Amino acid sequence: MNVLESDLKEDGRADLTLRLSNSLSELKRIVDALYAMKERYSLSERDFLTARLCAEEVFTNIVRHGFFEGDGREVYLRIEADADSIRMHFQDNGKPFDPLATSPTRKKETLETALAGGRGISLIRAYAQELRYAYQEGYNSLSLTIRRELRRA
Amino acid sequence: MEMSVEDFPNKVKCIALEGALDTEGASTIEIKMAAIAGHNDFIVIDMSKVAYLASLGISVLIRNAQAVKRRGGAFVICSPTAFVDDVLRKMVIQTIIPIFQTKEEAMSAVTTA
Repeated sequence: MNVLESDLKEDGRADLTLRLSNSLSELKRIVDALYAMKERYSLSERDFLTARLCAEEVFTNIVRHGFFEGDGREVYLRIEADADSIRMHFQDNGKPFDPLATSPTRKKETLETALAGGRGISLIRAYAQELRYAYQEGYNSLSLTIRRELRRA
Repeated sequence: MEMSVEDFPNKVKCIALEGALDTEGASTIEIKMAAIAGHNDFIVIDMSKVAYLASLGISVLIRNAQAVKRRGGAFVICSPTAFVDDVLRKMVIQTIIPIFQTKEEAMSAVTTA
């Protein structure tokens, strides 16, 4: 999996950091990392799928819009989990791109008028409870928090 | 992502998907589904074995539904799993592509749409 860091803290928090190249083939490593966290830290299937969806949509946006193809740049992803939430922090040195600058509302669509694409950011907004973007010192930084579903005791 | 096709009466084709309809899965089925949607007017997409859906998967569904609709046909989804159903409804896809909870309902609806 080529994880830079993976640790379970004394207070039960877990975190993991991945260094990814700007290629969609890296999505498999992200899914593998999330699956490893699911297994080790008892994420529910729903929490796992929600985190996978947000990670896939953010990473796909970065690769497709943030880089010139084959320029060899990298993306860092840090994933943290505790009993209440999963947090993901993406950092890349691609072109400045604030995904949160897009309008959060979509026009009412019919099958005839619907655009086939462009739902990635809408999905992130729908599933993440907190989203923060900053561009500092040449790096895009996007953080998002997913609230974990309540588990029965 | 696996895809199988079954013929039903009244020229209905049921396309059963299995696996994750993610970025990779969408690219795996896109051409195969387009070939079927390009020549058949009544299509049911069975999503009972699709555990995960991402935006590029939604794109494939919309593009094929539009192709069928342009010829006056009907394209519907049936039996989405819980997470896939949630993704579809959060994106309000049910107002674009009808979603049915059972295959029987979808089969009945697709020929009367």
